[in-house]
Amino acid sequence: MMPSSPTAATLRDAALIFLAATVLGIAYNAVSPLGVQRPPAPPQTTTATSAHPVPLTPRSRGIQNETLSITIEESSEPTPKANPPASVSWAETKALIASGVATLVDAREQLAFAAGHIPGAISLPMNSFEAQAGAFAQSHPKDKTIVVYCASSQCSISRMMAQALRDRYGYKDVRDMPGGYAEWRLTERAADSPDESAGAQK
Amino acid sequence: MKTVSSSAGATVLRWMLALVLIWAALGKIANPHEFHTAILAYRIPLPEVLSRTAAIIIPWLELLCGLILAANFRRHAALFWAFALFASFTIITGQAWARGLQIHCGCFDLRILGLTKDSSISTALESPLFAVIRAAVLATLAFFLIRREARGER
Repeated sequence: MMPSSPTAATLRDAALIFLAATVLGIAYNAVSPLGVQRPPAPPQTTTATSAHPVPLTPRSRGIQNETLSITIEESSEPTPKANPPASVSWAETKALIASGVATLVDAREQLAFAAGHIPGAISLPMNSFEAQAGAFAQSHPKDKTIVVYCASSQCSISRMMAQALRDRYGYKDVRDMPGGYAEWRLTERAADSPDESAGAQK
Repeated sequence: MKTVSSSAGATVLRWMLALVLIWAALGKIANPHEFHTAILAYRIPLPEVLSRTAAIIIPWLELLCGLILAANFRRHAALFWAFALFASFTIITGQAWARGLQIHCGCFDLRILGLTKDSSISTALESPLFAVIRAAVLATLAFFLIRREARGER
């Protein structure tokens, strides 16, 4: 049997590495609470009202190990950094939504929203904030509580948008949910597990 | 003497590539969904299923290549993938920079450096311009090591 050439051996090894990465990636993604999901079809934009109640879960978990990237356009970046908006956890946010008090706003890019979002959230992408915020302000009363989230604790556009809605559009109670979509994924995943679901029903 | 120092230099470069790959991989593996949204933010005209597949496979490809380079086992193939990855990142981040997209590149988890999400250093390190320069440098290093190995040097 002829020994394989270095190039052939390299290509074979490269193919094996790719195969191993594919298997590991698919297996890990299947069990990861923050795994990539098939986007919901069709993508929808809904409002957080009592018509879309969000079930309460007994506790929320901290977020670990997330990384992030999100689109931020400088032109849409609000100005002041002082007096940051109040922060809320997903557990608090869920209670506010379930009671019909709050509107949930997703500050991520439209594509990220389409790939997955918290049920009942409204898409108001930070990169088109200037264009869409006016319409948002006209359709949502100023005395309504607004909770803004982005991808995870690694992004800051939810805080910036919350500040802009409060300082420039006159919303009195705007809060930042710094854990973002990742916190919701982790918390709801935990709540969906059989033992914890049983605990939640008690 | 020159050969010895050259070999030591190549080893250091290989270790550097390994560490970068492992660092990049761990942040992405920790939150595949975030990496997926990072890919989407580049607004590359790819079918959704391809961007999803890339988000699932690339982090593990980075991790395996990094570990293989560190272990110095079948490193030719790992160098091939390292070059392919960094060259691809150069093109992708380059088009983002050329189009003026203001995005975080999603390349590394900077918390390991103690950088907060809002810091100016973090923003600069994750900017498309810095990302394209960094990816190009790393692709060049990987290519250099591949050429070196092709010449039979270790």
